[in-house]
Amino acid sequence: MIELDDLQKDMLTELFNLGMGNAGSALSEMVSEEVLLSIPEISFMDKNELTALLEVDSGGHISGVSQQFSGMLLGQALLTFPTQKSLELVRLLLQDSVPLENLTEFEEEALLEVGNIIINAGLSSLADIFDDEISSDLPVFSSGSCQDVIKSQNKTVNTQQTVLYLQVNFSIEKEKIKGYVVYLLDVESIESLAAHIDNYISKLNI
Amino acid sequence: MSDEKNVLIIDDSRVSRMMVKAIIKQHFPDAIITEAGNADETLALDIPDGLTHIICDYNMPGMDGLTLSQELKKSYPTTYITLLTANIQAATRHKAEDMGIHFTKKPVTEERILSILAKQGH
Repeated sequence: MIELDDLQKDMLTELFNLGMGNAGSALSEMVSEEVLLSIPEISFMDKNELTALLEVDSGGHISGVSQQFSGMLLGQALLTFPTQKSLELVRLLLQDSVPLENLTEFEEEALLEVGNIIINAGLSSLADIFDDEISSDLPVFSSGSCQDVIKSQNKTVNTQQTVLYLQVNFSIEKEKIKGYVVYLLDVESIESLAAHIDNYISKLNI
Repeated sequence: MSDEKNVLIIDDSRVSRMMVKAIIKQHFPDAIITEAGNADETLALDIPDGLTHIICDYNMPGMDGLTLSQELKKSYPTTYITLLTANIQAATRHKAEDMGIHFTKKPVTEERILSILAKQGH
């Protein structure tokens, strides 16, 4: 299997950081609050490791929006946050558009739209940097244990195999809402990604 | 220029449609607003005469928003048509521009919607 070397990993982290900056900026516009982002984490892991990692990070019950993508990269993206905070996020998003008592009715749809915008902001940024295209399916919402969410949404990525895992944590400090965005790249994508990164590096003349 | 707004909003996200609608109504209380959740619903609609703007999402079940916008452009050549989308890739923007469709990135903000409404088709 193809692995990324240190320079490729470093460049991917930097480029992913840019993409997530766009995603953070989109989220910030949506909720009219400052959004803080962590430094991206990039690693290779399999499904069991991944589920364990998400369990630890989220404390168990999560709500998530997932989107499959294809094109220059093949895989799955997830936006997740603790379920107890999801209504809070919806309230920030909709503000005066919906009466407070009706908020629950719109919870799932609002979170789908948040997920769609954030996930696509990150993907679009990567596609533009590499001068290529990535298309995404419609977003899917689910809620439950981390394992349930991953299982219910995972169609494209064969998680028995190793995946390239990219994660950024976000927080809306003022409202104490934390979550994370995860991109899982199918092994088939890694070769193509490595080639794109090499091409990008060669253009930089470094 | 007349200030009458007659807007068709097409988006599979009800929340997104609501947000666009709320901004339009706040600034143009007399605006005529028609909504659809996908291409099939749009093509089955009885659309009021004098459509000034079409605001169309890209990623929807069935026909995508760009193909739909291209179809609508044939029937509404003078209407200002905008693709309002989370897919903010240059490739998508170029495809839209090549078709004469305007491009605005999501998320929905007051500034972006007002900027669309300030423009007019030919």
